[in-house]
Amino acid sequence: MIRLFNIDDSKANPLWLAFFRCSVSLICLLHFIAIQPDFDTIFSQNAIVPPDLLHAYNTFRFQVFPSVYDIDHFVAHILPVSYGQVLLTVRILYPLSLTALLIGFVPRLSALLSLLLQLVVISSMDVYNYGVDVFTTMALFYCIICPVGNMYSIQNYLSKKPILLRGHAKYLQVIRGHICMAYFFSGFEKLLGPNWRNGESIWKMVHGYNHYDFFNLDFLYTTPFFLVTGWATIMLEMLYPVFINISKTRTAWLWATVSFHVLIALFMGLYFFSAVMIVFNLTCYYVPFIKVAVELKKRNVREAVLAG
Amino acid sequence: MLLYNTPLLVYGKLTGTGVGYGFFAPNVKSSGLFIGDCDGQQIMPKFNSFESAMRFSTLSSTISDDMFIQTSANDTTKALIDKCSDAIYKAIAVKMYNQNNCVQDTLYLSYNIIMFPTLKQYASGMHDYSLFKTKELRIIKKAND
Repeated sequence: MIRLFNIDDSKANPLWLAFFRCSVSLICLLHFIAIQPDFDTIFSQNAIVPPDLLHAYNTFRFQVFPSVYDIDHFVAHILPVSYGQVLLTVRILYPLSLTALLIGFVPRLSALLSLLLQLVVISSMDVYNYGVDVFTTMALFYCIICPVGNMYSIQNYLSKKPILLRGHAKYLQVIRGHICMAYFFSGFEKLLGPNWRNGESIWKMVHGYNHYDFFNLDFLYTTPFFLVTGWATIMLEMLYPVFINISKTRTAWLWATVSFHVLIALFMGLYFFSAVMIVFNLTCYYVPFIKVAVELKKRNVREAVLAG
Repeated sequence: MLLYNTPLLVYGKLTGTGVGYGFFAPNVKSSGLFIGDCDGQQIMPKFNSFESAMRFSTLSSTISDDMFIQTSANDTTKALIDKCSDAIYKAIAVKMYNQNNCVQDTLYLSYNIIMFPTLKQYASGMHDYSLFKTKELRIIKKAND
């Protein structure tokens, strides 16, 4: 019944590999495109917080990966390049590597390049980062580890021998474990806050972060709506590792979690965060359970024959 | 100390495991606003995309958080963080003035926390937002600027 430690390949549709690779790279690409209108205001030497100042500020914040500013300082000793040129290189290379990952062109290498460039980008705007960046890093890391390029990819198309998909479910289990842990601790930390337990946090969230007047829920202040929603959030997250892994409750818990993220997107404007979380959920608990298509079954038989 | 050694920090950053997952926990923070004054008009930083504005609000809350989490840092570090924060506020003020083509010689900038009444206060008839000013800056342009 509990599927967390089930590592049987035949029970999981390997389509999740292609779904994960394409969705993650597409979201990262769109996320990067979303800040392009203000790229100079955030990253250039004319930025609202100039890079040298941000660099000084980051010295107190345990920054591990180099920013564009650090790379420029390092490269400037070897080559006559300016900050603007280094920034432009990152600005071009990052979407290119994501596109390569999207189409599955040398997938592991393009995932590695995407991850390193993503870390450079987020290190260059360290104080601008929020939850989505952590999960994006995590998703790109799993694109390196997992054989995400083994399905519906250029690599697959160009390969003369069929690429083996054996063992893909083990990777899926690792991602599931990580996601379950993230949800549990997210819920647990909320449980520690008194304002989540009395509904104030939800009330504050729909006011402090709500950008849309047409979602005004003020009229519900006399009802237990905010109290119930607060507890529902805590329970949904904390009990996620249990109920998402029980086959009878999986579908209900999955759609409740997806709906929860849709509401986060609508009420808080955290579109990209919600999108990444929905992709993680669908990758782990929806796509692997789609009935394995006839074509894939045939392919598995062929692989089994080839593997002897 | 173990958690702050470099290999673990690199591993944590590279895999996305180096942070807690308690988003908006244990409590939801109040959001804040940078407000400047341009020839008597209230101004705010301008962004062309929603995502950039969202990221800027993260910057605001990070800086304001650091203002309050200084008790654990030693005095020298505290002073340096303060200096850096001040410089960042000034940089934001200057950018806002340039974005709005302001001509006055004195620039004002304040950082304000948006205070919305709690459920209890709302039920007792208090329905309006208020702004709690946590920081205020005044910068005077030099004659040759």
